Amino acid sequence: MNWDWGYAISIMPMLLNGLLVTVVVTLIATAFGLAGGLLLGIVSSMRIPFFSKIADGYVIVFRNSPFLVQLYLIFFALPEIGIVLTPQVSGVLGLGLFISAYMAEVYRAGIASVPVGQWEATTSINLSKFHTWTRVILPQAIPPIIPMLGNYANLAFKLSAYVAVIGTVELFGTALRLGEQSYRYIEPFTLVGLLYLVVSVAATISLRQLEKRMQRNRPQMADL
Amino acid sequence: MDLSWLEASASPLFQGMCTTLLVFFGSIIIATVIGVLVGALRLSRSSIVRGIAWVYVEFFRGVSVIVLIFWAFFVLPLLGIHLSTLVTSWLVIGLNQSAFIAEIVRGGIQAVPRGQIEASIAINLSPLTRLRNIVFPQALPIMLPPYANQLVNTLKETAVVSLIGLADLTFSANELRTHIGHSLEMFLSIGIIYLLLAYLLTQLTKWLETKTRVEPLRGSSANKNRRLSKSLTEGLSS
Repeated sequence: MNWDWGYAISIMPMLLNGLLVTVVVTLIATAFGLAGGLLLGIVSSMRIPFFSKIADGYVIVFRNSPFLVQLYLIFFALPEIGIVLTPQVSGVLGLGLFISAYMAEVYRAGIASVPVGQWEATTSINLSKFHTWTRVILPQAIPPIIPMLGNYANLAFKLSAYVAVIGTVELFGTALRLGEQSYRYIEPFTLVGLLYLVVSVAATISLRQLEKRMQRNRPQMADL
Repeated sequence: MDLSWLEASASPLFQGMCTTLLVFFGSIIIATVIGVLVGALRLSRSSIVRGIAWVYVEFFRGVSVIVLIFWAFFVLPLLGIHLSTLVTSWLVIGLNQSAFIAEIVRGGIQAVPRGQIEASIAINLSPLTRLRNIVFPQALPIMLPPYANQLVNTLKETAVVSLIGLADLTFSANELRTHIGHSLEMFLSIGIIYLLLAYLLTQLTKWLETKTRVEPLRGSSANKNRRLSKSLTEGLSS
C-alpha cells in the first residue's frame, strides 16, 4: 500500500478543519488551566489550614494519574452520579482540570520566588491582602513564569488528541474517522502527526525566543 | 454496600497492572539508554551530530504520543514492518520519553561547573575517566529529581497502550465497565493504583538521591572543596 497524493490532498480541508477544533479546545482548556492554576497556586501559597492541603492534594492527584483515566472518569463515571456531559464538554473540562494542576505548580514557584522583603514591605505599609496580591506579589510573580506556562499550553495542545477517544471530532478524531471510512491509514495518520509536530515545534521555538528575550530585558531588582 | 464488582474485577485488574508494569519497565529501559546517548550527542563537538540530536529531540517531544502510537500501530504494518502490540508500545513510549531524558542528561552535564572539566584536563585525565569520575558523579544528583518526574510521566503515558488493544490497567477497567458497569468504582480504583505506583517510584528515586549525593546535606564551601579534591584524587588514582 503506497502513499496516494490525490487522497492526501482531498482530506486536507477536513484535517485543517479538525485542527481548528483542536486549537479551540486547546485555547479553552488553557484559559481554564491559567485561571484554575492561579487559584490553586494562590490557595496553596497562602497556607490556609484546610484549603491549602486540598489544593496540594488536587495537584498531586491530577499530576500523578494518567490523563486518559481522568477523561474516562469524567465521561463514563460522572453520569453514574447524575452528571451527564457531552464529549466536547468532558474533553475540554478534563484537559482544563489536568493542565490546572501543572500550572498551579508553576504559579506556586513564581509566587515563592518573590523576595520575602516584598511581603514585609506590604505589611509595613499596611496594604490590604487583596492589594498585596494584585499590586505587589502577582505582578512580580507572573512575568518570569510566562514561558513555563506557555510550555504547558503546548502540552495541552498535544494532549488534546486524547479527547478523540471519548468521541470529540477534532484533528485526531478526524483522522480516526477517515481511517475507519476509507481503510486508508497512511495518509490521515501521517498528515495528522505532521500537523501536530509543526504546530508544537513552532510553539516550542517561539517560547524559547520569548524566554531569551525576557532574560535579556529582566529589570534589575534592588538588593534587599 | 455492594462489593460484588470488586470480586469480579480484582483478578483482571491485577493482570492489567502487571501488563502496565511490563510496558513501563520495557519503555523506561529503552528511554534511558537512548536518552543518555542522545543527551551526550547534544553536547558533541561536531555541529552536525548536535543538529541530528536536536532534530531527534524536537521530533519526539513535539509529536503527541497518542498520534505516534496509532501511526506505529496502523501504518507500520502497511510499510511491511510487523511488530507485536507490546513491542510497538515499548518503542513508541520509549522513544518519546527518551527525548525528554536526553534533555535532562544534557542539562545535568551542563550544570557541572566548567572549572571541573578544565581542572581534569589540566591534570591530564583521559576523556573517559573525566566523564566517569568527574562529570558523571556530579551530574547524577542534578539529573535524578527531573528523572524521577519523568518516571512518573512514563508510567502515566503507558495508559495510551490500552487504545491499541494491549490489556493494561486502563484497558481492563474499560472492559470491566462494559461488562459489569460500576464505572465510578472501576476508574477510581485504577486511579488509586496509578497513584500508588507513582508514589512508589517517587520514594524509590528519593532513596537513590540520598545514595548518590556526593556532598553532605548542609555542605559548607570548605566541605565542597574537600569533595571536589576528593573526586579529583579518585580520578587520578584510577
